[in-house]
Amino acid sequence: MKKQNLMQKIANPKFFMALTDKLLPVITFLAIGIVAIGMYLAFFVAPVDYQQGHTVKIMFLHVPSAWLGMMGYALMAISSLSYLVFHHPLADVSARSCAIVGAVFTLLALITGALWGKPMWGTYWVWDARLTSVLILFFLYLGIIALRSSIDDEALASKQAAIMAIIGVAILPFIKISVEGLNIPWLGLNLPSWNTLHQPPSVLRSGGPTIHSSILVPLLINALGFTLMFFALHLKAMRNEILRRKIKSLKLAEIARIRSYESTIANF
Amino acid sequence: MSNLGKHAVFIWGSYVIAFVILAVLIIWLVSTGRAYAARLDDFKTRGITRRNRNNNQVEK
Amino acid sequence: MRSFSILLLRDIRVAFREGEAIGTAIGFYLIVVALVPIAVGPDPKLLSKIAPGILWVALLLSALLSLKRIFKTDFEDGTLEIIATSSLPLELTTAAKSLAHWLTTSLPLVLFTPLAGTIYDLDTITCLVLILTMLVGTLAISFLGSIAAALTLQTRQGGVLVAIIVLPLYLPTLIYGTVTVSITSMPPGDPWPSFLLLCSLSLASLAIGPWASAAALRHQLQ
Repeated sequence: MKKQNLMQKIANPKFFMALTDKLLPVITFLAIGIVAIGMYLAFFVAPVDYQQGHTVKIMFLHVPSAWLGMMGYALMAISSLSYLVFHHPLADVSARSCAIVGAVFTLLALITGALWGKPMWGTYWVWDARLTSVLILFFLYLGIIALRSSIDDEALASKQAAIMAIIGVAILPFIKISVEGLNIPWLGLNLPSWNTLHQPPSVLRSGGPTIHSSILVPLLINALGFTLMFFALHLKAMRNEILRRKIKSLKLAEIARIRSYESTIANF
Repeated sequence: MSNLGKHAVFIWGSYVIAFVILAVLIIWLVSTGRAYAARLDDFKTRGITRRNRNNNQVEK
Repeated sequence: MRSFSILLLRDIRVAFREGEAIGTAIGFYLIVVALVPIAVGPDPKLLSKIAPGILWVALLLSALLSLKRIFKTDFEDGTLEIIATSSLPLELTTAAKSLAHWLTTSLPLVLFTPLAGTIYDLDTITCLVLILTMLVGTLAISFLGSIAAALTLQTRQGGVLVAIIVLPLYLPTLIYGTVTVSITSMPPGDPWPSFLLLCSLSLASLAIGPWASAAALRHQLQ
C-alpha cells in the first residue's frame, strides 16, 4: 500500500518538481565533487601503465561513458515498459530524457574509444567487438530519438518510441553475442564471435588483461562520479520536459479561451 | 602532468572533447530550463492557468 | 486459419500485380551484384572472399527498400483498418503480411543468388550454404522489418529513419549469416553453432515481429 502511494505521488508532476528541486543540487554537487576527486586520482595518483603509458588515462573517461551508455539504455527500457504497462506519464518523460543523456554518453564513449585506439592500435576505428557493440547501441539511441521527433502526434510518438526501446532491449543480447561471442566453459558453450572470424589487425585487450587496484580504484570513483552526473542531467532533462508540457497545455488553454471569447462575441 | 608521453595530444584531446560535449549538454539543459521557466512566469502574470475558467478576462 | 491464408494470398497477389516492390528489390539486388566486381576488380579470390558479405548486404538493402510497402498501401486507402477490425487478431494480420513480404521479395532475391554465385566465383558448397542462410535469415529480415514498417507508418521523413531503426535489428542476422558461410569456406570451421543461432534468431523473430508490429499498429488504428 505504501509503495503504491509513493508511485502515485511521484506520478504527480508537482511533487516530482518539488522533490527534484531539493534533490538536484545535492546530486550535482556530489557529482562534481566525486568526479574532481576521481580526476585528481587519475592524473596524479594512478600509475603509468607499462604497456600503454599515459594513454591509459583515457580509460578513465572511456569506460565510465560506455557503462553509462548501457545503463542509460537499460533505464530507458525500464521507463518505456512502465509507460506502456502503467501509462505512468513520468515514465515517458524519463524515457525521453534517458534517450538524450544516454546517447551523449554513448557518443562520448565512441569518441574517446577512437582516440584511445589510435595510440593503442594505430588506427582511429577498429572493428573491435566492443566498439562495434557500442556503435550499434548508438544507432539504437539515434533511431529512438529520430522516431520520436518524426511523429507529430506526441502521444503516439511516446508509445512508438517505447515499443522500439523494448524491442531494442530484446535484440541487444543477440547483438552482443553475435559481435562478442559467448563463452561459457562449464556449459560447453562456445559461440563464435564475428570478431574471431574476421580478425582485426591486432589482438586487442582494452584496459589490459588485469586491472591493478591502483588503476581500478580511480576508475571506480570516476564511474561513480559520472553516474551521479548522468542522474543529475537526467533529472534536469525530466524537469525541462515537464515544464515544456505544461507550457504546451497552457498554450492550448489560452487558445481555447480566446476561441470561446471570440465565439461569445460573435454570438452577440 | 606536464609530460604525458608521446601520445599526449590524444589524452588532452579526449578530455577536452569530453568537457566540451558535456558542457554543451549542460548549457543546453540549463538554458532551455530557464527559457521555459520564463515562459511559465509570463503565462502566470497574464493570469492564464489551466484552472482558470473565467471567460471574461481580456487577453493582452 | 482461413482468414490468415486469405489475407496471405491476397497480399501475394497484390504484390505480384503491383510489381513495383518486387521489381525494385530485384533490380537493386542485381545492380549491386553487378557493380561490385566492376568496382573492386575481377580478382576471383577477392570476389569469392567478399561474396557472402556483399550478397547479404545487397539482400538487406533490397529488403529495406520494400519494407514500407508492408503496411503503407493498405493504411493509406483504409484497408488496414478494415482488416484490423475483422475477426483475425492483429498479430496474425501482421504475421500474414510479413510472410507475404518474405515470399514476394526475399525469396525471389534468393533465387538470383546462384547466378551471383557464379559471377563471384563461389564453389558449389559455399553457394548452397549461402542460399540456405539466406532462406533462413530473410525470414528474420521480413518479420523484424515489419516492426520498423509499423513504427514508421505515419512518420514524415522516409527511408533514412527506417534504415536507422532496422540496422540494429538486422545486425545479428547479418553477422550469423555471413559467419556461417565464411566458416564453411575455411576448412577447420564448424558452421553449426552460428547456423543454429541464425535459425533461432529467425524463429524468435517469428514471435517477436508480429507481436511488436501489432503493438505499434494498434496505437495508430484507433
